[in-house]
Amino acid sequence: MTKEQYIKGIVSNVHCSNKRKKEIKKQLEADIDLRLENGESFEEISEQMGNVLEIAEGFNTSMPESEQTNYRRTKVSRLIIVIIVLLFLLSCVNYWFTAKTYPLENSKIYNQAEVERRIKETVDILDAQDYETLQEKSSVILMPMLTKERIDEARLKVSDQPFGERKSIGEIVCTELVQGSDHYAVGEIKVNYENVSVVYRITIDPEMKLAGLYMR
Amino acid sequence: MNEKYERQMKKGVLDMLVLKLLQSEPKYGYQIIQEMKEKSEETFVLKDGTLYPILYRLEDDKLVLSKWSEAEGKKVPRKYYEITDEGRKALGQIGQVWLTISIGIKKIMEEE
Repeated sequence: MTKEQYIKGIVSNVHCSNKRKKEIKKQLEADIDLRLENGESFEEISEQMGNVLEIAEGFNTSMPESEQTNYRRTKVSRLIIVIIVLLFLLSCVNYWFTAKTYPLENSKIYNQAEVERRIKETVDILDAQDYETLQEKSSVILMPMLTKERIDEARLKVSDQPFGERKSIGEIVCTELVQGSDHYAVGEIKVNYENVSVVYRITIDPEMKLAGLYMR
Repeated sequence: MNEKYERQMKKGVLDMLVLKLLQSEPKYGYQIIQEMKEKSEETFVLKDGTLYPILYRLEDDKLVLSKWSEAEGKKVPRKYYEITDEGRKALGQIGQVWLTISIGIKKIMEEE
């Protein structure tokens, strides 16, 4: 072990303020250099002085109360700062992943007219019960769920009787949904049928594929 | 002898002994360690880790003052400790307490 490593080892294990640590380092350096000047070897000096932890322990048990209090306060302050930074980072991550909505007309990815057209087309395909075409126009993830059985199941949750003939179709209200780096166009449209009124929420992905379907 | 008890007994008088050694003139840390060892005939062999916190405490209590010497050529600068007027006064008081304690101890220890 070199003189520098020896001193560094002691100082890093002493519980006191940084100002005091610098003082201790300077004093230890001066003491050791003095003894080296007197002809002692570093090995003899370090043996006489004791091992790094012993010396540090000596400092720690005899350090004035004010220093020990300062050290504890510094430790707590550092811990608080670390916690604050972690919380800030967590909230940034949370913000990044939380879904946010924006007006679709401001989108740089979607054309509102195109989205509205696709949404209306989806309703037409559903009413025609053309599940094959519906699946073709869907994303890979959604495709397996767009079977006759699952859609009939969803319809039953809206009304226990058949919807009947379509009577009218309302305006489409669209927004852009951003979650992390994913962008979706989401539209809601109200359709009045003979026996029931249904609101469809249809999600379109950047490839203009159907990415979500919800009815109530 | 049980080292723990020896260490405890010695610990109580170190502040007084350091102040006493500084009574005559300012001294640096290593010098205090050497003198204490020689004058006590090796009864008190202090390590740096024990001496410096004592000096810091005495300085915090304003019983001593410290000052680094000027660097002279290749000579290593030294931090000198000097007793203050308050320190001299405290030494006198502690010395009295020590005498009283010694007499009390002697009376008990000499009892059959």
